[in-house]
Amino acid sequence: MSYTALTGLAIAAVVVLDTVVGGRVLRTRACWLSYAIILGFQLLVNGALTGFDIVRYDAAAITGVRVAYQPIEDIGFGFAMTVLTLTTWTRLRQLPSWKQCPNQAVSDKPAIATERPASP
Amino acid sequence: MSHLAYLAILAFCLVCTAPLAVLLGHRVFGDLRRLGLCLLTTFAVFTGWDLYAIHAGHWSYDPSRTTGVLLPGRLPLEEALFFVVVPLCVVLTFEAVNRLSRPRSGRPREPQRR
Repeated sequence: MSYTALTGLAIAAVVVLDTVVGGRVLRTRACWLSYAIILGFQLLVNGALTGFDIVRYDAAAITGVRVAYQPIEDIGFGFAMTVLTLTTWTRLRQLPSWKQCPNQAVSDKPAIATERPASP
Repeated sequence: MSHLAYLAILAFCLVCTAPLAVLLGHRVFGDLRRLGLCLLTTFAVFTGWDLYAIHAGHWSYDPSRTTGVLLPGRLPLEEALFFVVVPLCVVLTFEAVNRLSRPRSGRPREPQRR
């Protein structure tokens, strides 16, 4: 399977995972705000990795569309990695062994939280 | 020196997010089991993807810009570190955003204010 196809699959997988069994972070503003910051850093850091040819790609495995030197597929890879990390991080806190208040699905630790991140 | 290029880029990521770790220290590192499980999950999935991509020839690494240390499966050391460093940066960024987006919620046990 090409890198392009795998990336599409990964994005779909993390979105489903987050909605069905994960921490449902995609509904929170904190997640998207974090992702905006992370994307900025990805363009810089991964731009360096690809721009300086530290990582090279097989032309047959990608579409050839590039953003800041990196194949556009890398943006999807980064998105999937970010969402998997944040949905796991949030879900783990919700497990009973973490003594999470059951009603606080997407907000922060009860001891610290004052507002739900998703509130407009 | 160019062998350290990739490692230098990873160090840059940590330098950028380390101040956040100090700011949030006890929250992110307070539960090492949670942090460890979270990082392990991302590490396992994306190292698996990386190994597949390396063997399928989707991408390769310039030997002159990496240390040349290869882990089992021809995985460069830097790549393994990447899948620990980057998720850690992600969690630190997320917790920093969470903290900074609510006014003065600093100390634990503080009553809710709204």
